[in-house]
Amino acid sequence: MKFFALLQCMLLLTGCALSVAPVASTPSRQIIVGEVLWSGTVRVDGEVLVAKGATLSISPGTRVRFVRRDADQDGFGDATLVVEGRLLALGTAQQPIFFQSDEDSPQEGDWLQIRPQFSPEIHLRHTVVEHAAYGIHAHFSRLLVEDSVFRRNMDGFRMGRSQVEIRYSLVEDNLSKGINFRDSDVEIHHNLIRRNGSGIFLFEKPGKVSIHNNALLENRHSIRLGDFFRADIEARGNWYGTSDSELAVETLYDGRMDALIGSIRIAAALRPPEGVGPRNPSFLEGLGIGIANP
Amino acid sequence: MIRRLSILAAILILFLALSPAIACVGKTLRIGTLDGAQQEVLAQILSIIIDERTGTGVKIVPFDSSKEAHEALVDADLDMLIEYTGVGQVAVLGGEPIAEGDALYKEVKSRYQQELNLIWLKPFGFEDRARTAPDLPAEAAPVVRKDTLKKFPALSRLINKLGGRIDQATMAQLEGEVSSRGAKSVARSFLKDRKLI
Repeated sequence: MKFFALLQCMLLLTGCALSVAPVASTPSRQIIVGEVLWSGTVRVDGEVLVAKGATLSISPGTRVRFVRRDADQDGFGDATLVVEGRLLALGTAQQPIFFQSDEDSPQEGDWLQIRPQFSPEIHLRHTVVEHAAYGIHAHFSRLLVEDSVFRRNMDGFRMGRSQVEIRYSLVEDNLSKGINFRDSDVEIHHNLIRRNGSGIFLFEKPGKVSIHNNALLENRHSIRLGDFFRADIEARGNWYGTSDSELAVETLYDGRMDALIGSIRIAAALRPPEGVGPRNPSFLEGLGIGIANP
Repeated sequence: MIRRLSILAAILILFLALSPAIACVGKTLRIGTLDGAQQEVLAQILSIIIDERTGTGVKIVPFDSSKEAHEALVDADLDMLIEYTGVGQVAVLGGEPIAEGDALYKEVKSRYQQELNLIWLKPFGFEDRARTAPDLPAEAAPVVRKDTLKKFPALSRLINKLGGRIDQATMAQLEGEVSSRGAKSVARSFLKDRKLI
């Protein structure tokens, strides 16, 4: 008995608790084990951990509201949803799921992140992720994000060593980077990625990357390689707002600007791709977002 | 009992080994900072330029004293901090004051590298004489662990883009804006205005 008590203490210290705790909306650190369903309005004040082996499902229409506290004074709120188990947030076009700030006048960085780590399954559909520092900040995890909106975060996505598919989504107005990743197997397709600092940002290592059939518009750089990135990548069949390949290339940031980083090879689409962004128009209409004629 | 303790020790080692991986796949840089608008805004400038241009996560860690921050850097609890040449020469190295700025910088840079495995990068471009005894130049510059620069070979080149970019007047202006706008916002504007991000 003492053995297991000692073991549990050690696991708690390392952030991998075995203990059972109540779920959801009170301050401090909470741990979810087993199968848990969130619905209505859930306030996260501090950190919620979905433990290894647990599943957090979120009902359509749920609002997960993150309380801003900046205890470490780094300029970002601290509230975080850590997922070591599964996260299934499957909203509907009429009843999306919101991950948002609890502030009356929200701004980028009010809450920190959804942080999958070693998670076998993250599935988001018809979700809105807004006003985070890093909307999803994943490591060693598997993610499918579809028909969702990531907006007004510092970075919409930030991922390392993960397997990720992002499709039919809208990634807009993220101050720094829309989608930021390293050393991951990533497929990004049929998304509208607009008005971000960098639409897609790759740092250090590419992994297996497939970026196709997206519309990348009005970003400071549509695709940017980080200062540590040495490899060359391809991103073919995307729309950069022009059928002129030379103009499309000017939206990139790569070895043409800095000889020490890699290059991006593109063959720009000749016309806007069909079917970018969320597939059900009523979803964006309900959010007051128009994406006609990308 | 010994067997059980061995199992416990093995589990603990495993989880401790995984901890750096969880912290941004071992890619989070830690910058030490002291209280005050100057250090806050400089730390944010470093943090934002690294994050924006490389994608590498950065954590700013506050300290109560220059001595504590220096010890954390030597102990590898930090990757870098903002130091002043006069402080480095007198308080850290215990050397004699050197009045001439370039000679002082060369001296601390050389001794830090040889004795502490710490690298002084290019000075920002301003002095803060309040940090040291009167008439001793105190140029501010980033100081980085040598093993951090080995791990991130392009980091020195990136940070050195800030070398000489913040003169006395600019620093005073940035410090003045921190109280109303916050260090993060001031730092981001500075970098954008100069097309560094």
